[in-house]
Amino acid sequence: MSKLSAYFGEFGGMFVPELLVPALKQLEAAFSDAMVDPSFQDEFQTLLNEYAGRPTPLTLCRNLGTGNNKIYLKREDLLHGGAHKTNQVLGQALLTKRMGKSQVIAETGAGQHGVATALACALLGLQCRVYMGAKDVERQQPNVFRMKLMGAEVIPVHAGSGTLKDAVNEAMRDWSATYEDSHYLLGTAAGPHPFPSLVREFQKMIGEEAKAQVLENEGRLPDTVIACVGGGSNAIGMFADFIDEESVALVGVEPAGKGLQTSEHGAAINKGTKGILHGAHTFIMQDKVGQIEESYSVSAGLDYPAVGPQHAHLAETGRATYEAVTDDEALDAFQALAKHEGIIPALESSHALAYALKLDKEVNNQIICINLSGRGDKDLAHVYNIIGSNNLGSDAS
Amino acid sequence: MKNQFTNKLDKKFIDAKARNRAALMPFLTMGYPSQQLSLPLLETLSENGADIIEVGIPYSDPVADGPVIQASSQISLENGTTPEKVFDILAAYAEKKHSATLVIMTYYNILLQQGLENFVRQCRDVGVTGIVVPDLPLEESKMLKGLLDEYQVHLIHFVPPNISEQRLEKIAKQASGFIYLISVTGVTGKRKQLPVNLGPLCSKIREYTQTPIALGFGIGSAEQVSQAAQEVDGVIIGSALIEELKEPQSAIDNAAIFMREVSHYE
Repeated sequence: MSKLSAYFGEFGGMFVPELLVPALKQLEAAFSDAMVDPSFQDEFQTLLNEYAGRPTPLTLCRNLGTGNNKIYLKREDLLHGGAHKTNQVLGQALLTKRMGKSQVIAETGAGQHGVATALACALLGLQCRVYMGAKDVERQQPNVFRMKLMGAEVIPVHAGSGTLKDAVNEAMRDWSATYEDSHYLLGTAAGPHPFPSLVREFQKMIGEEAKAQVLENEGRLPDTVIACVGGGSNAIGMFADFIDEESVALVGVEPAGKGLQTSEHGAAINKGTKGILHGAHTFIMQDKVGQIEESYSVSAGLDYPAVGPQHAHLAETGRATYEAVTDDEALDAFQALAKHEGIIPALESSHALAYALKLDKEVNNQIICINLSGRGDKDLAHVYNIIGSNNLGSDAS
Repeated sequence: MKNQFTNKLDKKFIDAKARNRAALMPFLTMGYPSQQLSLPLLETLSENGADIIEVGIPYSDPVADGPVIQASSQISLENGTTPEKVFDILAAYAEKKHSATLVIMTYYNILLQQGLENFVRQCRDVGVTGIVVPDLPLEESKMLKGLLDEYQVHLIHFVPPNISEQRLEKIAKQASGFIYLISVTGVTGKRKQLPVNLGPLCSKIREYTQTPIALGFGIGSAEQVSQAAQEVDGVIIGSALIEELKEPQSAIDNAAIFMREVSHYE
């Protein structure tokens, strides 16, 4: 029997075609095995340290905010590849080899997970094919080029809305036909069991490091830990080691897009309902009969109409709270961090930052720790098109 | 656990066997190519040789379906098809006492959002005799199975070609109505050849259960039906039929011709 539970309370599970069950069981067994195998752990750790650049620093903001609180940034933006995603793709790529498979399938929205998967595959000598919505292929040419440079095949998906969720569907279809040689390297802590647990385990060093770093600097735990939530991989990686520390408030920040009162957002926990998407029972965005709705966010990495099942459980039990931040608030925070700290954050991470800046105005003498999950280079053209270079937005600090 | 009840679905397999034929089971996406055509299409299939009709309630994210059925679902959704409208069509079909019995195919989220018991009750009320839920593997099926047993509707389980002996035994013990044998790995869509290992796989299944076996995924011609009929008790035809229904003007004629052709397999 597996040691891992497929459920987090009522959330999670494995709602997939019977055809995929053997592949998921095989993955679960290989993963359980690898987690207790010192040689796997050593190899993973070596890659994290010597290739990806772990541990990442913890930076105390010098200028940002009111000055009434200490605001720390966990610098996943400094990781090779530019975001936390590199952690877990290295883990899964190693697992792929461990299962004796030579090919990797991945889905990607704006291309970040595709690029991360491509780099891990290039490094470890795996064949890589990435499904990407046809619309996204058009919009994200630089990332398509990056993937191709690193030897990946990029397959445009025209079905459905031609975006991330359709790319996931297509990747799952490919996997059903090819899993004997292929591993599906899912990009977030969502999807069917064992992916939510597996991705968390391959991301939880973020929180472990942050906890040790805050303790060393401050001699105590942070009061609040904040991370943005799309599918939720950086957030679960940041939260995991703090879940049992009851004095630490955990805050996930969802994309409110053009406002929670509009239909253009991606706030599955705040505005969604319970249902099933991509193999898991969780909070999803759907109409009243159960058809999945399109999500929206200025930040492609948060533009997903569901959330990882462990977040659904943390929300339901009240262990974590989930706030929402609009496009405009995120854009302000993006500029504020650049202007005051000389760090250009990813638009995803800017959501976490925007909430932290609100909190900073309400509390005193707190230690606030934000997961700065990625850097903003990838977003420059997009942000330039929105705000222009001469029309910098209001100063969020 | 096994054979707690029988309904018209079991009878269809018994009748086909008595005629020494495989039960023929075309698949039809409800609301495709239009909602108006769904009822006449069901009638046409029933009148031209279908024993069982698998009716699809469209879902926005059908991961087990190939491009043809996926596209038909999308068009159906654009036509405004809802589960409620599908049940209206099925109720109208039931009133006319047609020969072919109906089995519903849809994804689990659709059932969940209508409420499992409500959905199952509606199935019973319109004479649906089985439900196929492609994203509900054995582990997750307990709750639905309990309700379906109560309402005497069969839950159809899938058996893929790569199944382990242990899992096959578990599924076979639960099986009722028929076993949906997947002929090849991958998603729905017609393919040129049937898998060669069909015989041994069927023999293995029959070691564990008497439940009829129906073969699906990839069957599109009378010749393939004929090959399959030597090994299995029923044959499911999906994408190949859907491809014939693109044009609303010719959909009914094409459905009749297609159904007659495959039902006259040698």
